[in-house]
Amino acid sequence: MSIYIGDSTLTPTTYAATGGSLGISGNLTVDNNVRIAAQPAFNASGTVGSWIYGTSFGGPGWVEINSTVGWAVNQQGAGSYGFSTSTGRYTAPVAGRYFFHASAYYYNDANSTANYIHFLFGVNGSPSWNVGDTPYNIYSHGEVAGYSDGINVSAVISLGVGDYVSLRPYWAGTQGRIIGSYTLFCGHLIA
Amino acid sequence: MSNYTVTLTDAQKKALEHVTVSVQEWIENFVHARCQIAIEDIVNKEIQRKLAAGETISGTKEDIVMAADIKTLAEIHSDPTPDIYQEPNPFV
Repeated sequence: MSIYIGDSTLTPTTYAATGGSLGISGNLTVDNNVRIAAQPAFNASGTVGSWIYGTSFGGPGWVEINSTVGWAVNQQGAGSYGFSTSTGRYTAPVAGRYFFHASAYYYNDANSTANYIHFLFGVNGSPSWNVGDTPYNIYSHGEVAGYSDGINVSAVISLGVGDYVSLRPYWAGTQGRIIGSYTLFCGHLIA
Repeated sequence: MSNYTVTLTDAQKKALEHVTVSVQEWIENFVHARCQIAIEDIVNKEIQRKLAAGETISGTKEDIVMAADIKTLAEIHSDPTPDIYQEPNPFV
């Protein structure tokens, strides 16, 4: 039996909202799971299974983790945009707030303060996306040569359609390196 | 290669420069990202079509796109003959 709500039809299993969009003016409580098949989400990995120095990305300086790592991706809800393996950029298919996370496997060759990394996201090519400020972290500064502990970064970022987020660290010195295939970049639309 | 020109008002330029370091790069990314999605879509459909037809698959993605027998959207809208990728798909 179908039930009609305004111009829309509710069947026992499917609600087809007029115009394809259902609006709820109050809270929504669901007793079981919610699965959103087209919610924008992605997880990307480099595929190059060898060390890549910052100079290979154009460093030292602010450089984008681009196709040098050989990006591969699983994604849904990309719409007309989403993650590009050609550029390493996630271009927002819809406007909203997104959660992003990334991690890397970093090695510093030198016992000096000259080699370190600010492992950050860039939005439309800028690190200063966090209410106008740059949310700095710093890894490997002044550490003895070796692997750097836990290079991770997460963020909630507001994007418009066509805005893009990429891994865009500040790479100091020439003796820092990552393994491409150990690099993670993922994210999803929150709301 | 094709070049396209986009003209912005002073207000549009000021607004876009507020959200991106490089307007040129933002526009290029916007277009290139859309192009790549379209390329991936065409390549996937063409591979499925070739597999179903027993044809060999070779060349780069760009080669596959250039060789694909597809219509422009304007042609699709003006031509009542279905595009090979429009439903019903004769290759499935």
